[in-house]
Amino acid sequence: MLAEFFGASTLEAILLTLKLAFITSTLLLLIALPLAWFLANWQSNAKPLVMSVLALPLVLPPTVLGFYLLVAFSPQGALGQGWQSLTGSSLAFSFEGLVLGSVIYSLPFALQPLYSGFSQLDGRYLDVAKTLGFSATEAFMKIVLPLSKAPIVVALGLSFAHTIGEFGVVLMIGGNIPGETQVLSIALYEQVEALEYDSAHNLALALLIFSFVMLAALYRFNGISRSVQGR
Amino acid sequence: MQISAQLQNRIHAHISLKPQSRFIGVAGPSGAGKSTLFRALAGVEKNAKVVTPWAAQKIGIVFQQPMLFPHTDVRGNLALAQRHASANAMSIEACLRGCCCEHLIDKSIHSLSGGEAQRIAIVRALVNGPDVLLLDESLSAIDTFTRRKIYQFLNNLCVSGQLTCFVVSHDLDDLALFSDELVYIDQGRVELCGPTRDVLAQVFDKEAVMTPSSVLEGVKFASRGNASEQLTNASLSEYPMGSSIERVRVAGYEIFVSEESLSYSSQNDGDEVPVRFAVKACDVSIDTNIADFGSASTISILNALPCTISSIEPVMRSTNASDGAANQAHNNLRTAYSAKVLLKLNVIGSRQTLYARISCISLTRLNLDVGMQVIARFKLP
Repeated sequence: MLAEFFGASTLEAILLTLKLAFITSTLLLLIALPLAWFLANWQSNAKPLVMSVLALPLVLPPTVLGFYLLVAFSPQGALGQGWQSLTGSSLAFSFEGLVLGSVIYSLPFALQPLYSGFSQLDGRYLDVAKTLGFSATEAFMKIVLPLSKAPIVVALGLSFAHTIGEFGVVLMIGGNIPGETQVLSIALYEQVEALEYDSAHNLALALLIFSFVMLAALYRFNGISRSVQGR
Repeated sequence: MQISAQLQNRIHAHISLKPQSRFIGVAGPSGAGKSTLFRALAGVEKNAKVVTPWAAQKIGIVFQQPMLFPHTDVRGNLALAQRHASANAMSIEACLRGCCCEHLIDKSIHSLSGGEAQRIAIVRALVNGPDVLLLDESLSAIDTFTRRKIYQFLNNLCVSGQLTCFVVSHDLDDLALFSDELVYIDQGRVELCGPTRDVLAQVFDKEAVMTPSSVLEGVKFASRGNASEQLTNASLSEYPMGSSIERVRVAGYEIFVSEESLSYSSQNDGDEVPVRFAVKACDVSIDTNIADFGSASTISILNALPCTISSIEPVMRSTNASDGAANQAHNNLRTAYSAKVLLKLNVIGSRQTLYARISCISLTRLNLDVGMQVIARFKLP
């Protein structure tokens, strides 16, 4: 039924995008959790600089970021060269390259909610945990993570949704290879270019509904957890 | 017991306590550094240099904000505290019973009131089995009756040697009742430190406390009729007493005290147990009819002690108001408060002191003067 509605090639792009979003948001959570915890507890004059670098993808035109990533991923770039010597394949225009690019591009969307959540966490919870005999790691796992459920869900949701909607970076580093790097937004762009407006309508509407439902669910969850914590 | 804690520009405290002191009260004005000192002693204040005799022992701390973990319920909080509990830690049931909150075990954290949450926070600290427990205004939202019950429970643990308690409180009566020694902190430094009664008298002077409390020590006797022949007003023993009223002998006289207002200073289970209780200056009346000591049958005040007046001072309060309106209010207060005087009374037959706050009218009407013998009458504490 879905194949009929979207068409086989679009369905392939949908599945690839979901795969990319799932892998990216999982990787981002694993990276952003310790990074945000470190940043929230780090006091240094260099902190604003580091925070600015990590937040750059928020304001940078995606094509600028995509261009630099393309240069880095190319076989002449250090990263691309290292990848090629390790795996024997090119990083640019590959799914792996797409994952790496998406992780970098969506990092601030995972990092910011976690950073604010950790910064707002009352340090006395950890003081109590310490006097109760918890190690730093145990306190993080048993106290900090459960108390940060809302920022974690928001970080996951935002990075997932943002990856689904990314266009510029993907186009620059991934190109448009069906089944390998052709994601939803590029498939839509291609349909519009080919004047296939009916398919484009279907896809655009599906993306619109998905984005709306995702954001509504996040706001709803955030509202519930805030009212529970505020009681 | 020598304790030292230093934190640049915050605290510079050296505390010297008797080795046998197990319940130590800490008082001082707001912002004096009491909480920072406790955080330093608990090892959670970064950059603080602390020297304590309990380096290898387990320290527990309970803040004024209970800081119960909101992602789980009461049972979950206590289970987390038990993960690293010491071998000799008390059971959850015993701690809940001691802190009067057995009924809260299945509640969620969000449904607890402020006082209930404070009780659970104390239980959580206790089930972890600390050797030293630091309570930083941790009972401030609990009603007086329950608070005293919990202090009694903690004091019993201290007396039996299971625990050493450091308690910050602005309620000097609580500290007076239960502390073996009292520490007064101001501007991050230890201003006064020593036996509770001595420090308390100086604190009352220092803070110009309008209604100081006196701490009386006596012996509680368990069975009726015992030693009653020594008591001048023993006739009162013939009346039915509620189960929550205890009889205490002070300087040879029988005094009636509510059970929750008593503090036990030893684990003696015999017929005669040493106890302490506090009497507020505003609850003490002066009677000049010494001949009527034991037969005051027309007034409701139960307790009486023969005393000598050792000093008479006007009751005033100092303020540091700076603007005109505040000064005006201050002057009004002065006028109002100077209508009262504070009598310091020596209890005859003992070296104990009792405070009485009476009006200037009564002072003149009764011709009271220093050295005069009077009867101090006070309600059941």
